Amino acid sequence: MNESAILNARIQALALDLDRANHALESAKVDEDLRERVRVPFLELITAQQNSLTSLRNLLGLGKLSTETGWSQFQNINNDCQSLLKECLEFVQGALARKAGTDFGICRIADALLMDIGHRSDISWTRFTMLAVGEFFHDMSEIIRLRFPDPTIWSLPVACHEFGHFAEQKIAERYAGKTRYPIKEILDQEAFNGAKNVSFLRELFADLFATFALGPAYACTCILTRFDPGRAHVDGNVHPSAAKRAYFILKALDKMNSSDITKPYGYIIDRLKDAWGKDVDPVAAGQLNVWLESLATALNKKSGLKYKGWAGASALIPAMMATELPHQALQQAKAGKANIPDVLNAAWICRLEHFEELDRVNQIGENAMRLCHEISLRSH
Amino acid sequence: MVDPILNARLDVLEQELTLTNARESWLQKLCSTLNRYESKDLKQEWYKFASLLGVDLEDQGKILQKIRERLKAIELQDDQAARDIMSQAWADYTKALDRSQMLFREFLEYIGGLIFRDKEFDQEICDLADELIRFCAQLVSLVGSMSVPAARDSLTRSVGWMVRVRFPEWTIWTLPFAAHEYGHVVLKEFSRLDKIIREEVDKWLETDPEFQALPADKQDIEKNDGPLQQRATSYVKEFLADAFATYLMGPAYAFPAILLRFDPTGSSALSRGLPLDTHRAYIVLEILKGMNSAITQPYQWVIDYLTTKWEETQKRVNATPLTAPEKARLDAVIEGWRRFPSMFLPEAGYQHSGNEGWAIAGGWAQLWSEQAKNMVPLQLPPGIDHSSRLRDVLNAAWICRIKGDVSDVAEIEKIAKVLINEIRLKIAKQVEDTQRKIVKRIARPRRS
Repeated sequence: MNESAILNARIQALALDLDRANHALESAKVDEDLRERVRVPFLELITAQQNSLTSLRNLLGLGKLSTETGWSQFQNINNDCQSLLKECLEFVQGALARKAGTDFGICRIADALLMDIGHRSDISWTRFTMLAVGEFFHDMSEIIRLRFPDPTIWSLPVACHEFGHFAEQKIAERYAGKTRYPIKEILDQEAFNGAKNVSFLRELFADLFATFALGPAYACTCILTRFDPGRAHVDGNVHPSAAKRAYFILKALDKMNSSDITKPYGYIIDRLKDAWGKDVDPVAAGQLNVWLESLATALNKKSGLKYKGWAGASALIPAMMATELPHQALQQAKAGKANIPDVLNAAWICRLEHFEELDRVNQIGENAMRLCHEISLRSH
Repeated sequence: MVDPILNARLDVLEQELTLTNARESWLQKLCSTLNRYESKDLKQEWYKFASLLGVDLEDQGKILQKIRERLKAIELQDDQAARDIMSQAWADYTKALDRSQMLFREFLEYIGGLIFRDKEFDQEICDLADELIRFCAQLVSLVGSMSVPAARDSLTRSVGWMVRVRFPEWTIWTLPFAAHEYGHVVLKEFSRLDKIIREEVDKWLETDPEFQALPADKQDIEKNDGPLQQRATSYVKEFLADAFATYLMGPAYAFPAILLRFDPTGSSALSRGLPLDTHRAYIVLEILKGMNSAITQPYQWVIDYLTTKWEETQKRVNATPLTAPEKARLDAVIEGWRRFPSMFLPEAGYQHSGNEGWAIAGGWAQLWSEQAKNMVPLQLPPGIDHSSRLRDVLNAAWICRIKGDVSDVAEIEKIAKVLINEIRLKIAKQVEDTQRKIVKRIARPRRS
């Protein structure tokens, strides 16, 4: 063994790991439809890392690189590869688990919802959703994760927040022959005020995106089922405090409400404010208002994104409240006369009326699930 | 005083706990999905995992129930005392939620791992890991665990006695790491070790310079599960798992740890809340030195080889050498480890002589090396039976890789896998024979 024996052994082992991961991704055992949606980006990433390893090995072999520099380069490649391998494993396991039905069909519904939003906002998303321990978006594979073990429709709006993270880099405008990325520009500008501000702004943009796309359903999900009042005023490393986010989301909803002549969301905003009962200090509120204005201005140009289905949601209320979902409602869903955002909003309107009646809430959730399922079959 | 939001959260979490703990329906789902397992084996594995996790899930359910009872008692009150109870209820709920999410993660990882294994992506390495763990379990008189593929930075540790095999390291070279992961299971589940572990953690904490710099009152707070105490627990358990794996596997653990896994700069571990790899390497080498006390010093060449390679590599990457106080702290952990082996069976430690162990591994490596020198395809050694040991195969493979004349590492791996499978077959046959004898004995008419 020569002086870089250990380093060479590591390079060789990592190259083999990449080969095996590639083999797993290419395997016919993974659902073909899902595989095809991520195959190319994964292949490109694996090939890039393999090339880096080959180049490192060659430079070491030719003596053009000291072992010390070689180790340092290897550490960088290895770190990138470990993230890539983790993502590969999660994809393969997630795809297999989804095929096995461990998600109770919720992933298919989430796919349909996000495809619909992608279509409305003209942001093409060709990936899919799968289960994880919490919702998140990873830009490596662009797969959106849904939280296990929640097989109900109540958490679906959070998937839309994750889609917001995907949309952040994709929102573009053509002006005078040039392409601008307005959200990226706002984030770049904020970078002067520190990395934490950029993280917070990213989260708030995703909140705004989800609120615009889903209307009150997103606000209800976050405020009533997710935000922790006990730690309401504690900022995280990436996420602003729950109080700040709740303020921001309600302000965004208020903005949508004001721009509609019928002011449809007034009573929901009041109920959520009342239930949440937390405020933010004036300085933070001022900052949040400024951010909301600049992000909303950029997002307003995606006019198709904004939720305008309140009337449609209201029409679904009787179906949601029924002890057995009416056949007619199912037929309408099959015929394409209802969409998932309307169903989610209708379900939340009904849930707010029976918030503490667990059986009623479950019944509403089941009815909504069945409708969403029908809609997802159609869109698939 | 009523908080509808908290009530709704409790409802949801309760439903999620119930759904996750619905053992029968998950088993049905798995049975209809998985093809590779005999339904009896699957059931056995599933119930073992589900019952262990189920206890924890039920505990969380009980906590939620207690929160509900306290909330019920303050429904008609609206004073400061009621507000305090409400605030405590939120805090307890958040704690239960955090714990539940950890259990959900474990559950999802296990289900995902089972399905993954079913598709045979892992070139059966998890089967070999299972066999190795079964063997380790016999030596420490504990129930075995099932191995599943996992990413490098799994956050949870063995809630359901699950052992993770890093994806996609599907080679026999890294198989001994399963013993390290199983070490974590043993440290967690073997209640006789609790007291010693606690003492070792306290020792580590008390010699932590950051801890020593704290005023006395802050030290008391720290000792009560503060961040430094948590770090001490994580570090000490990692060291002890390394010691466990080295003790059971012998050089077969030290070789891949030093040559294939540990980071000579040490930096990559800190972000994951783990000790520096340079510290772990010290532990592994020192444990191996401790096992080398026989008159023949059987592991001397391994120790020399690994020490030299590690030191050279560290020099090349300008790694900071261990300081005397650091060494003293690590030596104290090693001293503490010496109390552990007496808790296991006498044959748990890797033997250097006799019918199994290093001498046998060396013989097999010698045979393969000679076959390679004579251009003969590598063959199974003679005399393999159910008492042949998996750990000897792994040691033989490493000896052959480092010292032998086999230039192609893949050749060694291939023959080692064949040998492992041969031993597995012999073990299975022996179990079958024993069972047949028992059946015969029971069926034989008895004299009155």
